[in-house]
Amino acid sequence: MSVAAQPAAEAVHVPSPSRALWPIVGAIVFVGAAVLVGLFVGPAGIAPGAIVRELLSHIPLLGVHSHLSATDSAILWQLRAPRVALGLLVGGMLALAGGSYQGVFRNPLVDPYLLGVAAGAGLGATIAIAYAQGAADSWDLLPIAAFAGALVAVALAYGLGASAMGAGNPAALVLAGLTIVAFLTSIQTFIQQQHAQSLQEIYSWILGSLDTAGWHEVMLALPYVAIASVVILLHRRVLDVLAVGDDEAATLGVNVRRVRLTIVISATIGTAAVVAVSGLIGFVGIIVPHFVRLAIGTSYRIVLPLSLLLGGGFLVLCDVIARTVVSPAELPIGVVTAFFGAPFFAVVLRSSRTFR
Amino acid sequence: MTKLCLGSLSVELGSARVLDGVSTEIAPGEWVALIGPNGAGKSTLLRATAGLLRYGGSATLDGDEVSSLSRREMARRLAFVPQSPLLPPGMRVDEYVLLGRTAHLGPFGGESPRDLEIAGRALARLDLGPLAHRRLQTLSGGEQQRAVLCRALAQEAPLLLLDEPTTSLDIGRQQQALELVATLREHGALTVLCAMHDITLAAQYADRLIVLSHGRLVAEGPPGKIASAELIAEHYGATVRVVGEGDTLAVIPVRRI
Repeated sequence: MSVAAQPAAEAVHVPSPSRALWPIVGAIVFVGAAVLVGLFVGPAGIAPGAIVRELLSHIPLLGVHSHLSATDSAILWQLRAPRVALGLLVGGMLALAGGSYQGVFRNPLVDPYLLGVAAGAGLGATIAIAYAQGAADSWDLLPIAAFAGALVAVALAYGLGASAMGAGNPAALVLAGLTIVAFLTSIQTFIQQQHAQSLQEIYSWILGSLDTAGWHEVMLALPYVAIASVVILLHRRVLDVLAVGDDEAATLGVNVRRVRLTIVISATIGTAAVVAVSGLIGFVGIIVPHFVRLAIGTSYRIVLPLSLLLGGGFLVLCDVIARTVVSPAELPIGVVTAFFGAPFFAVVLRSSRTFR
Repeated sequence: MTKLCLGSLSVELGSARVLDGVSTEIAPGEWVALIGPNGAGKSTLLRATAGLLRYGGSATLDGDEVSSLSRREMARRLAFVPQSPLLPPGMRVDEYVLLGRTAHLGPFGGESPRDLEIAGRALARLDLGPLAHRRLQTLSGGEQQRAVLCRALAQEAPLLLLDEPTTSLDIGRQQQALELVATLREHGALTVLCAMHDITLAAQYADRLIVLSHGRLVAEGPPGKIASAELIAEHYGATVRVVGEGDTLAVIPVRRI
């Protein structure tokens, strides 16, 4: 039937749903502000004005010259900047992965660690720390072990879920994820028990940190995060279609199985990469997408890009708090994300009208 | 216009054969109502036709086997309205109706002005203009039903499959929903296959009734011939009186004790 050809009543104006310009602009401004705060704040006490001049001096044709000393310049570019960049990558990826997982599983309680990324990475890291103490000096071993552990765990969970009840059943995947998480965690606990001397190191890895050694970690995670983000963002409209249920999405023209698998693989690889370099940082992946839903809109065309931006900015700010509050020591960043994020989210939750 | 042919269509769920060798043809532009008691296989037949269930036998749309079509191609040929659609919380009516355009967009593309216009016209046709910016969960049951039909209309598919479109609606809304489908048929070349509980309404609106019982097609024909007290007693186990004839017949339950 052709609707367009019919002599219908006056058409209703339907705005294009892909336009979310102002929220995106606002989020970019927030990220910019978070980056500046991340660069300004630190124990070395470099004047913000000098940092701004230094930043501007890198923009051609402006003719601004920096007065930063070599030491301060090194602090800025080799300590603070990579940390800020890592915060953007990790926070953005976790929030984006969380948002997309919530979409493909149609479950608001899901976070990016659902299918065992965290448990797998934790086990991989634990094995690396416990059994390869000496070899761990070749220090890429830890992230590689965590990354591999995460991928293996999710592959096991997906395989189990798909073979048990069919990949068309999101609840089956969630249960399979729970099973794998419990199993891997028990192995990890056993290894920890056997290597009590490594406990401190394992624990501090699990709590997560953006502590970096220059740009190495950023470069390690960047390609995976970039590819995963592009793939997930391309599916933002399809995720809106999935919200009507698997069967209906199928009759609307979506290959649900393929979309679910693509999103799970992308989100898993991205999450595994950031977990491998930063440890397990909780809260961001579940709360940031919900903040966007409550404050701005529930369409994935809004939720996904804004989660990427706001997640990054949020984690950069949390990291500033983590490294300044008890300076020169550092708080685990996961503690900060939850301690400051939870009350803030409580306020948003109370004032939102989205679900009323 | 789409011709739907079912040839020995069978569906097994687990070890149960819930649809057993159903053969029929639905002509382009025809409105066929599927009736039968609970568990007769009405929804299963619709879901198999929509490509949602693995089936034996054949189901063809203009000669093309349903199971051989891609999801996208299928969505351009048939629209399916399930019995209790899942309405995403927080989604607006116009956004929901635009989902109907999915099969017409590029794989990762957004809606073109034409898609927006088609959705706008569909909203206008179903008098949803004033509700276009409301969230789905703030609508009444009847309005939600209209929004779902509107989404199916925006899909611009020549075959419409409806599963119990009048369940949970009051008598006025039931009439409205069916009148709506009737008008859509007048304007466009629309073939309708619709599972229904209410035999009176089915007889009033459909060109033909198909009776399913225990997964088998047990009778089919014009409403006046099919909707008889004997047939209803046999397959529904109900005692009724059928009054009137043709498209004004009514099925009246008779109290037994």
